[in-house]
Amino acid sequence: MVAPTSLLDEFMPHGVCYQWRPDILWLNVLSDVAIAFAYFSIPIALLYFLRKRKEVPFPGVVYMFCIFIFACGVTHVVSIWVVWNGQYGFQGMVKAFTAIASVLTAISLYPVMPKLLALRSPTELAESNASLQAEMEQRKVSETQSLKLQGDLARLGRISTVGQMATGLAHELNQPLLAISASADTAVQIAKGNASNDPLLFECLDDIQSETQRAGAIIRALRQFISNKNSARSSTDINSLVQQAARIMAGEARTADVQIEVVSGKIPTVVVDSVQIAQVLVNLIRNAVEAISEMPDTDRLKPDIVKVSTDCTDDVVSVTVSDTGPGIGPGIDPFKAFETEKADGMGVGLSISRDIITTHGGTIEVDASEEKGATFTFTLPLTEKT
Amino acid sequence: MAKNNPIVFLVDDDPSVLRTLPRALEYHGLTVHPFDSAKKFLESYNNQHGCLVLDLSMPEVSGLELQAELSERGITIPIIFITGHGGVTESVTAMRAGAVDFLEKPFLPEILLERISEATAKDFEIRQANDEKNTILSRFHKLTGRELEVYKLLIEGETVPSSKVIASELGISHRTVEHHRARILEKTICNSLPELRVLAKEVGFVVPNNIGNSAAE
Repeated sequence: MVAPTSLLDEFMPHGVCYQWRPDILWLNVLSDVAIAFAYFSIPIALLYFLRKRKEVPFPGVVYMFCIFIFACGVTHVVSIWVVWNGQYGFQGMVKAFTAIASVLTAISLYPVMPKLLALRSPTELAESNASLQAEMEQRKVSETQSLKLQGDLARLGRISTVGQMATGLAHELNQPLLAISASADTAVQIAKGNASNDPLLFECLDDIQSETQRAGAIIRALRQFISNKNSARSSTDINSLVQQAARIMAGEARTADVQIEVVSGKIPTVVVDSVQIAQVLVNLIRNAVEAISEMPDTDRLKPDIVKVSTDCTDDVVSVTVSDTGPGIGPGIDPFKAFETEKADGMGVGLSISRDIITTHGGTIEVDASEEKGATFTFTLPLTEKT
Repeated sequence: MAKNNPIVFLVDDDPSVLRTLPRALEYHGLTVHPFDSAKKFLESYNNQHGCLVLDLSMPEVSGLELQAELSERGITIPIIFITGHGGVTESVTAMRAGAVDFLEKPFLPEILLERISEATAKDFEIRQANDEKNTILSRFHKLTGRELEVYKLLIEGETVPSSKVIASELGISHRTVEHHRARILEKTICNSLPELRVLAKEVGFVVPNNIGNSAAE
């Protein structure tokens, strides 16, 4: 034997220790081969996983695991090598490298432990997934509802506009019709005074009278047809209607640089046609927003606020819509059909609103006495009046 | 006041209605006073017999507001509402407040004539009842001071007190009480004391406050 001079000096091979007994030799060698294979395969699997799954938490730790396990595999290969070749210095160096890798991996594991623990387990993930899905579905439902409401409002708006025109026309036309009817009657009385009058004259006057009455009947029928729009009343939370109306108007308000502020009071539900009441709300909010946006920039508060608040007494639920707009001009009855201060408007919106609230047994009024703006308040009775 | 000259007061803001409707009604022998606003009607109305044909929707003072104002002033003239609107809510309000009728324009003049004659008849009845009441009240007002004192005691209690009781109460002789009692029945044209009590209640005659109190001294 030569005196040791370097780590790579050759010694007795390891097999000598068990006198090359085949059973012990192969048990060791084959086990090492198997372990080495397994240890080489595990990092490959880990790397493959890392590559496929982009968002693995703490990839650094996984890489360290790869190195450490790979190094363990190498130590086992070297164990096989030293059975026939006694280079224990070389084996030691491999083990030293493995030791460094193992210790570093072991140390690195502790700091990340709390974070690892915080990671959601697959069951937890499934649960939160499910609740997310439920929320999405809920959203879809309310979105559909809101879309439906918007559609209903648009339709009702058209119907009401026609209805309002009919009501306005009816009022305007019924006056001359009555004048015609009265005049025809007078003519009959005069004609009766002269016995020599042609009977055809009486026939003509009768026709004028009956046709006038027929025209009146047609107008009445038209108005009835329109006012009988199927009103579906149900128990309704006015606060949620206010929220919906504010949502519908949110876009227009943003464009006009107006804030809609909702103050929901504690109020009981009331039995109303929710689409109609929503229309009143949208109408009042829209009027307020439009009134503000038509003001000259120098008069604007920026942001101007439209405040919608709900309240109740023993008998009624009340909703107040107040704005910081220019208010209402003197001598203007805002509820009267075809009377408007708006540049582009028919002046029927508030008139429709008043009709809706009155048919619900409520009241609607305006207070424009403040220096700035107007305040509309409508009430709805808690118990339905017939 | 005579039954045969009722006045139809027409209040409507529409000029063509205001021109043609009175003409038609006058040809049927009615006297019509037209007004284009509630205010002008209120200024000129002096509790004449007749009825009021009132447009529901007018600027400034509406028909409903005029109705409320009249009721506040204690004016009972029957009201026939006419409207070009046919608003359900307003018509219910109007009828609840005592309107006799509600006609939608355009109506047949003969229907209005019918309603006017009903309304004026009703007004006549009310006025006649009022007149009767006033006639009876005027009889009660003829009672002299001492008679009123006796009258008060006769009316007040649950039962009619005897002349003796009244006599001692007022410190006068029992014969004097009987004399006053006879004069009271004579002046109010009543046959008996129970009849007097019923009548007094009906017309709501109240003995003036200063009577009776002084007698109790």
